[in-house]
Amino acid sequence: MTPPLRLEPDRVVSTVCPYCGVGCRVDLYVKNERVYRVMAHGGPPNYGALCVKGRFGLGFLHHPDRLTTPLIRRRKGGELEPVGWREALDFAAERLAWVAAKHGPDSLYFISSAKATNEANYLMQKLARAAVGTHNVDHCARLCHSSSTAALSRSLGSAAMSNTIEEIPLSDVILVTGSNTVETHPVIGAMIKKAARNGAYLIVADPRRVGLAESAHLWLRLKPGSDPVLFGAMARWLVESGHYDRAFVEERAEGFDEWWASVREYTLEFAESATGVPAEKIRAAAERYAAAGAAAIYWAMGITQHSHGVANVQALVNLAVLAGQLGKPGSGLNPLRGQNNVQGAGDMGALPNVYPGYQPTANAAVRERWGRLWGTPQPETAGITMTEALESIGRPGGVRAVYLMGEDPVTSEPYQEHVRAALAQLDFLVVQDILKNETYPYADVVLPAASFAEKNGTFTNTDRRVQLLRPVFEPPGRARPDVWILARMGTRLARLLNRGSAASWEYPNAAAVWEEVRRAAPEMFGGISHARLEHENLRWPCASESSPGVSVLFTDGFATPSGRARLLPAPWNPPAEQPGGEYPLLLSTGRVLYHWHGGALSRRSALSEAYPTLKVEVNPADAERYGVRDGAAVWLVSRRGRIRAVAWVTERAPEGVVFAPIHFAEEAANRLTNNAYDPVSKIPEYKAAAVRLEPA
Amino acid sequence: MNHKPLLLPLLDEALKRGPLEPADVAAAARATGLPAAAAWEAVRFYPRYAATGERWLLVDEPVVRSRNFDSLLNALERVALAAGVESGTVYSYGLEALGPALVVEQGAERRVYAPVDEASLERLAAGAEPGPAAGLLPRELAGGGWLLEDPPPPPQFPGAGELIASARAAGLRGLGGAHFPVWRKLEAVRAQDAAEKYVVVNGDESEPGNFKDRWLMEHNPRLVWTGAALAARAVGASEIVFYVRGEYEGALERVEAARRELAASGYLDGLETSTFRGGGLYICGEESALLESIEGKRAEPRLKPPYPAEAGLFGKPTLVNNVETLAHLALVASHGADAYRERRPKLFSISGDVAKPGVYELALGTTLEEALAAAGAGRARAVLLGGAAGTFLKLPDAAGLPLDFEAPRAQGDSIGPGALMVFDETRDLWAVAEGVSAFFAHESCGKCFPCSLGTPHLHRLVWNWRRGQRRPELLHELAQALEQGSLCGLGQAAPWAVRSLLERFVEVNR
Amino acid sequence: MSRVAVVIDGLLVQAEPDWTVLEAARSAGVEIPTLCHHERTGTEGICRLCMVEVAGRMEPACATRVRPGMVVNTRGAAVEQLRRTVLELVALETNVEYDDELSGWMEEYGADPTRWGEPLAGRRQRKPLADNPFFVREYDKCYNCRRCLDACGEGIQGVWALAFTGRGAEAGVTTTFDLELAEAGCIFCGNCVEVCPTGALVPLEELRAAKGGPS
Ligand SMILES: Cc1cc2nc3c(=O)[nH]c(=O)nc-3n(C[C@H](O)[C@H](O)[C@H](O)COP(=O)(O)O)c2cc1C
Ligand code: SF4
Ligand code: SF4
Ligand code: SF4
Ligand code: FES
Repeated sequence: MTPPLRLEPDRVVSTVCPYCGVGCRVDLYVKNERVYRVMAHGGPPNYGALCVKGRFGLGFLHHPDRLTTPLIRRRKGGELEPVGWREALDFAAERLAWVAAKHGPDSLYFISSAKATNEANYLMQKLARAAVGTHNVDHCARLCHSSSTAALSRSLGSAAMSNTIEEIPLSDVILVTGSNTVETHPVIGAMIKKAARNGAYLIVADPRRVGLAESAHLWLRLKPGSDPVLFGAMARWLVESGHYDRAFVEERAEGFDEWWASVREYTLEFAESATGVPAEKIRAAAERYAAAGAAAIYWAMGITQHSHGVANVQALVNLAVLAGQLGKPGSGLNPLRGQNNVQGAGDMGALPNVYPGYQPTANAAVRERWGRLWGTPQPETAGITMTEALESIGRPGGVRAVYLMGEDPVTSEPYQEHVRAALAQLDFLVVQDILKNETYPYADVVLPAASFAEKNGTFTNTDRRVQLLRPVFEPPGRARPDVWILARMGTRLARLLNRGSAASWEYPNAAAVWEEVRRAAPEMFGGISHARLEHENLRWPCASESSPGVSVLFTDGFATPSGRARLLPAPWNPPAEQPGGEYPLLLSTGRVLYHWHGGALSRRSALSEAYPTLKVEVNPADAERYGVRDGAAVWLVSRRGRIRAVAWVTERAPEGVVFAPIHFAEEAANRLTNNAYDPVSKIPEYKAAAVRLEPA
Repeated sequence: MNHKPLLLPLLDEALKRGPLEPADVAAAARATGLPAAAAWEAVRFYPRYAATGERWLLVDEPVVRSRNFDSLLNALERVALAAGVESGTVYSYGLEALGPALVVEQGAERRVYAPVDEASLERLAAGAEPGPAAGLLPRELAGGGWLLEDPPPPPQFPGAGELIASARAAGLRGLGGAHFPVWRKLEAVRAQDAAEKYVVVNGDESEPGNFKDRWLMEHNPRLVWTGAALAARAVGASEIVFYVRGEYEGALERVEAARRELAASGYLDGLETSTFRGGGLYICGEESALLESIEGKRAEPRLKPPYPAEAGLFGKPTLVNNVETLAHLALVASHGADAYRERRPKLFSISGDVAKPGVYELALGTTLEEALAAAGAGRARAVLLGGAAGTFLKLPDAAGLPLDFEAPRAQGDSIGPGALMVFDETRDLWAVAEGVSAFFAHESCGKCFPCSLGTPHLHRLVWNWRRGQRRPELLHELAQALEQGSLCGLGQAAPWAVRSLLERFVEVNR
Repeated sequence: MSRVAVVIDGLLVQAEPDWTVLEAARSAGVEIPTLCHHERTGTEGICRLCMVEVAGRMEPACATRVRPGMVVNTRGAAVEQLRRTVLELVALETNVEYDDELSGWMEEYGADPTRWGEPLAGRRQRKPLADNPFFVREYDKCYNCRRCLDACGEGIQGVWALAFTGRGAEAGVTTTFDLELAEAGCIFCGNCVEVCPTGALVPLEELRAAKGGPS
């Protein structure tokens, strides 16, 4: 049915929203080369719904800050000057090759993007591994879900949502923790709320009174950072009271004894004192969860972005395994992925430790295989993570040149001042992006890229659905699709560094890149082709052309060597930095509805009119204590820096905790956060830093 | 109580402290678990939450419409304008038997006077009592009969099977207007497998020309409670909500007093009971709209199925019965089905051009002529049967019509809840029709398109008709659309009176 | 579950047991006009345009489940006349110039709103409300289908920023406490705009583009 229009569109193009991991299908209505209306496409994954960002937040497409021509800085300290593509690519390739030759391939670092297509991510890691010969490639999921990936992979062997969006109405109990779903994944948030209205029992474990807490049947307002105790105590209680799924644990899990020893102390009473949640509620939550016909857990950054993020996720995994809530429709473990293609970036191997399809780089046979496929030997040295890479800049043997695609580490990385200093020290920085961002002033080469609406390719959403993008416009000026740019860069680097054949970098289009992905990871993607995606909904794993892909993971086994789920201890350690003394408040950072990520897109659209300045959430009691009025300007000060914000006095924040969004580059909350990392996932601790409030 | 606090009582509490503020509404919404939007919808739906300051209101009903409505309204507007008070009309207060009525509204408080005339309005303007206060119907408005005398002692609950069988044997039907067999509804609710069930007493009675429920609630409420308690035990309900029309202050008090008394006697043991002040609109009497209004929402009829017996109040199986119906059920239990059948009692509200307007208990099947004679009708030419949602009968053609469930229905009429509004040949029946159509346009809830848009057009067509501009084809089409297209009985019945006038009173249409 | 056999305009249709008459009709290629019904919001039974005849009674196809042995007539003189009257009254009272679907039916059913004289409801006098950076509400074009309310509340969002106000022909859509949308809790998902069939809810960007020139 056509909507009632004031204006006949020149064309309507069906594509995928560029914002969050829900991956909503959208129809863009275009007149005179501008989008004037966005409608939901109908069908999965969003079933006719959108959120404000996809619906009204695409103004960035037409923003004057779009990069439209390649720029190079001929020498440090000089100006960026416009040049043609050939010159820019030659210039960049020569410098990168020079650094690689002089300091070794591991002195280069490739930062891929959870905003870019699967095809672009594939080429980016191929650039690192094939053309340069390093595993130094990563993307920002490091900053989001690497804790999830780590815990899920080692325990279950697969790191994606184990259920699908369609299964939300099938759960009898839904446990959401560390996710302000209604703001960060609004379409899924609305579906969860609706499920709760239709009879699902909704448990929310969150220190903040976030949107879902209002709809929850049971809200566990735990102290920040006490997650492993809460979930450990729930699991312990299930075992102690006999409510756990004994058969499931005996037949499908391993590691019970070691795990049991690790939760010995986590009695309900102990948990009450450690988490601040009444024992009665913990018990009720555990019993409800375990007794449900189907119960699903959803989580996001509130769980992962801690210096003990892996332990947090592990505690959830343990709980699900003990309750036997895995491998059934509506029953499973579901990390909600933040960015539109964060799932795909990982799937495509834009990670230092795995090739596409999560094939480990540490495995010699795997390396062999990829070496054969690409016609060039594969490096044995392990890659380092993006956080480690940025830390290493300026140190002996550290990273000296960075190729950055669609990322803005100045806003997204913790401890912002440090990042700026690091970037300034680089020998060489390539920035490939659609918009000017905060990192752009440090670039030696700027490569203007096509936006999601100007190219072909695929995104993989949070429930593993591979979806096709369709170009709506020509890219502005001389901007080009990432795939186009990377292929040309590959040709040059391969030739300059004499690795593999330049011909292996010839891709007529994005579909050709995808065909290589299919061949390289057939178990996951063999059945998925661009042609099928034109008219079918497909998700991985999808091995054959006749399959629609698997919905529920782990129905009959886990992807671990033993086929069993591994229970592992999830030790509790309080956040690395504790509030007290001069810094009495705990700062948690995160996202808000109207903005996304570093704000590069959302703040260049009508969204910024709805949420123009940084607001910090302050509990009324704290406001009273520190003399802060609602709507007043305040300074938020940590050991590492200070930012200015407007105070929003609200019950959303618990006493003693303030919350600041991350989307404001000029007042970046990450200027304040601590550079403490999870020891396994290396995820930065964004959710806990000690701060104080000062009236401004 | 198995449910959260109810919205309307909370809003009424807040209203006692002054006009409603958003904060009051938000607090009430929170307490009830309703979204604030739903509470706000209720506030903007029910008239009493909008009331501010002083207003003088003439009661608009079919009988006064047939008489001096226009001149009274003119006079009221004149004196109100002079006094600087807002004036207007309100619909039928169940006072048709007393004569024209006036309501003085002061914020949420209302005082009612009847009968009034133009002199009363002058007194009102002068700051005096305009006429006799009409807080309660005079007890003497009703003659004798089982329902109208002091009730027998509340009978023992005979057991569900027994009670339902007696209701069936007695031929008891619903007396709110639709005449649905009582035993079938009892059985349907009883058959539901649910932990919670409700009985709701429909005492909304806003059908113009009807006041028998009002009389029962004011003068014999114990009988109604008795029936409700028996019904609750029969269907396995644990809670009774007695929904009393919001404007019936006296009835509210008496129903509540009777509840306390009966509860104190132990007769209501094991039952949760409450008296609920209704929303104050005609549509609140439609059973599903009534349930919505108890739930704190706009009183809009639900789509059926499901019927209340399956999914009623808060989605639980619910028995909704009219006040009189439940009174009858009590009598069936007290006197037995056989004795009841012999009498076939039914209350009729008779008003208009009769010597003794009032509530009459007549046997079903009494002819129209006999009924009119009982009330002392002179030269009646027309009777509006049932209420505003009724039809005009023509006399003497219809004199022999038995007033029962079947005979009127066979010719496209219905006794409805039992109103007879009588008009002699001096009365302008089109003035009555105009009033009736204005009533429906005013009372349409706004849910479905045919009624919300069609009722004002019906009113305009009738208004024009009365003034010589006749569009029979449009009137006919609209009547069809309303009757066949409307979601609930309100819109469906809206054209009945007008259409019967067109069909039966050809001479006045020329 | 086994299918339910129903007859629609003489066609035998094997319907799923949970289908509505509307779904069954559509599956057989029988078109029934609808205004209020929307699959996602769950809105149904309000406009009464989809009324069909079942055993001599009119029932709304969008809100009536199939029953075994049901015989449905979706056209018939009475049905057509009812639809024509409803369309005429809606179009008389509402500015439906952007609702192409409705205009199509007006033509099909020979609806002529002018027969009814001047509009009565006062809808057409309503002024546009522009209280946010994303979309405008032009309630002169709103015919109270309530899809937006259901999209905002029960059907999709669970936000309830929108509320219904007034009664009868005066009824219409407002916000909670009649506040500006943002204050009423709106999160600007635009799902109300998505489902609005009349263009009463319209993206600001579209209005600007229609007026010529970019924002
Ligand atoms: C517009 C409308 C108004 C109604 N008002 C009343 C009323 O005031 N009292 C009443 O008992 N029934 C009223 N009804 C009928 C009820 O919907 C319902 O049939 C009745 O309460 C059932 O009780 P009964 O079976 O005992 O008659 C009304 C129906 C409609 C359509
Ligand atoms: S017929 Fe009238 S009162 Fe009944 S639902 Fe429709 S609009 Fe409301
Ligand atoms: S845009 Fe606002 S009013 Fe519309 S559905 Fe979304 S929340 Fe509700
Ligand atoms: S604004 Fe649109 S969707 Fe909402 S009731 Fe009006 S016409 Fe329907
Ligand atoms: S479409 Fe069925 S009533 Fe509106």
